[in-house]
Amino acid sequence: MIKNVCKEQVFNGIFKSVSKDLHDFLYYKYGHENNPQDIVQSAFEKLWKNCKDVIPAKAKSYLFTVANNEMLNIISRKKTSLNYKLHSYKNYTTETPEFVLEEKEYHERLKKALEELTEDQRVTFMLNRVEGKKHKEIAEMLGISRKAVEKRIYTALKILRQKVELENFS
Amino acid sequence: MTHEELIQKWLSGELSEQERKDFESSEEFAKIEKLLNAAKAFKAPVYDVNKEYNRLSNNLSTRKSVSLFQRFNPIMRVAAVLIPILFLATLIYYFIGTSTEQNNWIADQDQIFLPDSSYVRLNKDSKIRYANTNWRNERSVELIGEAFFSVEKGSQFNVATTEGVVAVLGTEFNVKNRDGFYEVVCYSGSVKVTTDYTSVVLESSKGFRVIDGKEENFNISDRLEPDWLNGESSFNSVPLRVVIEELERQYGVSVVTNNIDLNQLYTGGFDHNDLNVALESIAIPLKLDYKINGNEIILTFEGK
Repeated sequence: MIKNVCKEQVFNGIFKSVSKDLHDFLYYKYGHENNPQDIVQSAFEKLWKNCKDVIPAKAKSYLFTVANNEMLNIISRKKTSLNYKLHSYKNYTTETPEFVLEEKEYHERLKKALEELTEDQRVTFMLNRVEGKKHKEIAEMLGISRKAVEKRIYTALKILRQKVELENFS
Repeated sequence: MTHEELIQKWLSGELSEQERKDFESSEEFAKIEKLLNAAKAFKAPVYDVNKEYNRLSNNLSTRKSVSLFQRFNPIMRVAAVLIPILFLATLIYYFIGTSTEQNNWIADQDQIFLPDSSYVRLNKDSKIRYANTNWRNERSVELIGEAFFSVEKGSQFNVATTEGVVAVLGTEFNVKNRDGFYEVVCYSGSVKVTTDYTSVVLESSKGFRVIDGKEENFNISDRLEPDWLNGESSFNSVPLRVVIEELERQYGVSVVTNNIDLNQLYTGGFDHNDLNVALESIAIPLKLDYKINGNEIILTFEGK
């Protein structure tokens, strides 16, 4: 029976299974300006320091709590901004200029709308729809119920659609 | 079912097969699908778990030594005290007993002349060291990384790496020892390579390498020296991983890969002067896409 996470293999195993999720969580919630990679590092440093007091089953929630607190401590409360990835356009080269422009504006609206979601809505929506995480996994990460996860995703989608889909009145 | 319920149930995968099919052919769904696809453009940047773990281990290793001691059992504690003392005693004995002086590592130097005017050229991120005093009787060099040796005739000359030892009398050869990769190529004369598992003699234009424990002999076409001496890295059926690591060293960048089989074999080379040209020589034959982001390069396999 493994009592704590002081063994290097145990610690390494936890890092391999949790670090990416933790990073993505911080990125979607607080954006890249707040260095999610560094927060992940310091959360694991803290876990190592307190390894005697943490049992493996609790390590994941420990890490999420520590990282979230740390983020709140240092956060400059800048508006979260997500990296805008241009590579999504390259398929449109054969389309008409009007179409390209329309698509571009659509993406701009979506970017803005994503930034305007609440942190909780955005992180839940992106983990589910972009990272493909299951509702149950997200519920565990955020420490909320599955129902709450479903509700957040639906609300986020509704808000995004309102802001992104312009009705054509002409 | 209301409109709202339909979307909610679709999101949580609770619709029956028929309901789902009907919904997914609706005009409403096309809009939702468009939005969900567009959202993928805002995916989080690639997170390299292994790299981040190494960074963490480096940060922790300094602190670890303190707390490790407290977790030792009593026998280990005695050992922890005794071993350094024994080690120190051995070291003192060694220095008094022999007057051999081990020099410091030499790195970041293009060309090094050894005491007998044999010379060494070091590739990027490589270093050697050797004992100065006893040079006439024992010509011995320790190498980390990759170097080309041109050795004057004389007593036996050894190049030691973690993977094996190359012994020669007088000749020209290249030794490359990187993570899981050991390669010796002989350009003139002959050399003897000894690893933990095997020993081979290489005549000129022959090479020997060990990749992840797998040994292989090969020929090189009549070349007089390795390509890297002329500002180019070349590879023949080498795992892509090794090629990418070399690119990182030559340009001082870090490469993140996406959906790429790092064990696929690559034959070709890249130039050391222009990063874009170098990346294209790797990306085009393997049908990869690359993106330069400051010091970080993202390589992606796009399929088809």
